[in-house]
Amino acid sequence: MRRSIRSRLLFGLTAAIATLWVLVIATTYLGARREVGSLFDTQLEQSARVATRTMLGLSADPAPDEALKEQYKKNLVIQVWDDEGTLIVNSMNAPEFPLSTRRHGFADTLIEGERWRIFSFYDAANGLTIRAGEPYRPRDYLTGHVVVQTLYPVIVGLPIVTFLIWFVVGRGFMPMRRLAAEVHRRGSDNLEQIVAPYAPSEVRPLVEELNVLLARLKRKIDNERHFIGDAAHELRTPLSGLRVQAQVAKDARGARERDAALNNILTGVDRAGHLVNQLLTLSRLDESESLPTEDVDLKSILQRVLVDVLPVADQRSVELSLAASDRALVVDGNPDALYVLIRNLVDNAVKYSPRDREVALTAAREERAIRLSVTDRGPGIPEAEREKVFDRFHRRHDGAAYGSGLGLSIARRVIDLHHGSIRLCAPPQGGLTVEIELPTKPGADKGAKRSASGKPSESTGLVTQAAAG
Amino acid sequence: MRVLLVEDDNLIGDGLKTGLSQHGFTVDWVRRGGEAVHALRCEKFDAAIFDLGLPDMDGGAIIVEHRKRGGSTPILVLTARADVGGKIACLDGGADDYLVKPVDVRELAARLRVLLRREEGRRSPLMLHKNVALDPSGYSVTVDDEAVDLTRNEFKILHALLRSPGTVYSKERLEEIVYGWDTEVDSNAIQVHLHNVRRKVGADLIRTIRGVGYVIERA
Repeated sequence: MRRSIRSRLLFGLTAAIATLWVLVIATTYLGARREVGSLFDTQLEQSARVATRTMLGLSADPAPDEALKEQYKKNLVIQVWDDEGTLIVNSMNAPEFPLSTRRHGFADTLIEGERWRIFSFYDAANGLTIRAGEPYRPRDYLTGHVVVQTLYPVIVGLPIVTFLIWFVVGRGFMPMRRLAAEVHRRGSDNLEQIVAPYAPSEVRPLVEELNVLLARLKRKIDNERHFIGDAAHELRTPLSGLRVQAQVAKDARGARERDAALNNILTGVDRAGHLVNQLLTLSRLDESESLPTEDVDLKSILQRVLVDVLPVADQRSVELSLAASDRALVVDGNPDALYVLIRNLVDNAVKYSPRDREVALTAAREERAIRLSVTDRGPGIPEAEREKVFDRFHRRHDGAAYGSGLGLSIARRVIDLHHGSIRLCAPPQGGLTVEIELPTKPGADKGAKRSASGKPSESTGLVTQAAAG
Repeated sequence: MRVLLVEDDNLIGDGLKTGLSQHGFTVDWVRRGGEAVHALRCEKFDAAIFDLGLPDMDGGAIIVEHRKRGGSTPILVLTARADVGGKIACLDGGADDYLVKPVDVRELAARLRVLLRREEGRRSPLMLHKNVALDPSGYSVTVDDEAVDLTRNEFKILHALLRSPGTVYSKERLEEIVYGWDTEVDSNAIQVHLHNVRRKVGADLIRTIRGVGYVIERA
């Protein structure tokens, strides 16, 4: 699990502040050392000159011994060398060797493992080299003191700052916690929008996206709930019929009555089965945002549908005709879904067609689409109702023909998944024409390539489901 | 008992028609609201069974309209919609009973008998008249506590006449009650049935009023 934003912020900010403080301390230390150094150097130089003058009797100040003692207290040592290199004067604590090799100016030297600061100058009038020195210790002490003074609030302050960061960051995340609690409190049935006026601008996009998702989910669940309710209702009708017919068969007053009831039961079971298949098909199509596609030759699908519908058409003495262009009609689509689409349209046409009339299919290439049409000579659909017939479970009560009320919903869903269009119109000679347009794949004009086919692939199971009706 | 069945679904309609006829009802079946309105207006039914979701009209609206016109046919609503609101609206709109599909034919028959009983202002399930007792649910008739064997059609005639003693039933009305719309009826079929009923339950129970019809006198 990732570390929390809070602890990451805490560590990050503390580290940043600590770095800043290290820089401050470093510069303070360097600055203090420089300042202290130059101050002490001035003092050393001055002390050296004053002491020398005193020692050489050039001053009315206290006696040389006194002066030396005074300097000793100050930790100052003085050497006076003549030009021959003889040590003339050496303060009591000074070593016997030259404090510095230089004749003039400042130098650092090590005496008994300790660092000393040495100032030398040449008294030309007397031919003497004077060297005064003092240990670095007081300087270091003072510098250290300055740094410690600076460091002190840091050491005390760091825990306070850390706590403050912890607290402030924690408070900053309060809206997040509130939001989380609000989402947590929700039951699975609450898909209402999240209202979080307290959400800061950083969290707002998240809330908005959540709300978009919630709205989408709600729509989907509502749809599904309606669909299930409708489906249950639709199934209840054939089931009621079956129950009644079964009772009739049981209480039949004769073989004829019983046979009639049993035949009705068979019809009813077929009807319920068809309805269930259509429901399954539709729910499968609904599930998918898109279907696996391949190059599909619509002509072969049309032919397959015709072969499958022929027995029913024959039984109703409805003639089927297909007028298709000679060229292959290839679209990029899902062969199973396209079969279901065309099968539904042709089934409908045959169902509504009067006896001894023709159901005519046409298929032609347009510039960017393939246009299919299915025309029957049935009762047609009044213009006002043409949109409604695509609604689920909308059933037209214009004949004894049974349907699931889902055929055209399925057709439209397949069309939508293929980015095509479907429309109903009334041909001049009466009846109904269903016209669909499926966009062709750009560059697929050369006709069916590779396995372009209308063969059912076993993958989606749509075909077997739809063909059962 | 002659019942109007208003049901658009073929499977259910056919089943109920046959099923109820097995229980001694004469059922006339229409699939559309318009036909139902027409039938209720022009003919006499002892009860009506209504599906609500009709292709051309709303069943509930037909019931309301029927009641508004003063129609008194007992109406039982038979629908797949099971919501309480719908039931209340139906019952308050003038329906007398409400059943949700799927329905048991026997229960439907029993409820129809209740409706008829209520219509007659009768509490006892048995119809009693002098020495004759008729049990509508058991299709049995006794005279002086002796069981009498009537055919289905004879039973229907006796049942109808016993429902409202003092009311005269024409031959055509009895034909409707026994056969409904379906069957081509022999012109003297009712007389034959009446003759048999009289023979089985007693000659003086049913009186013939010449040129008008038949009646069982008030007790």
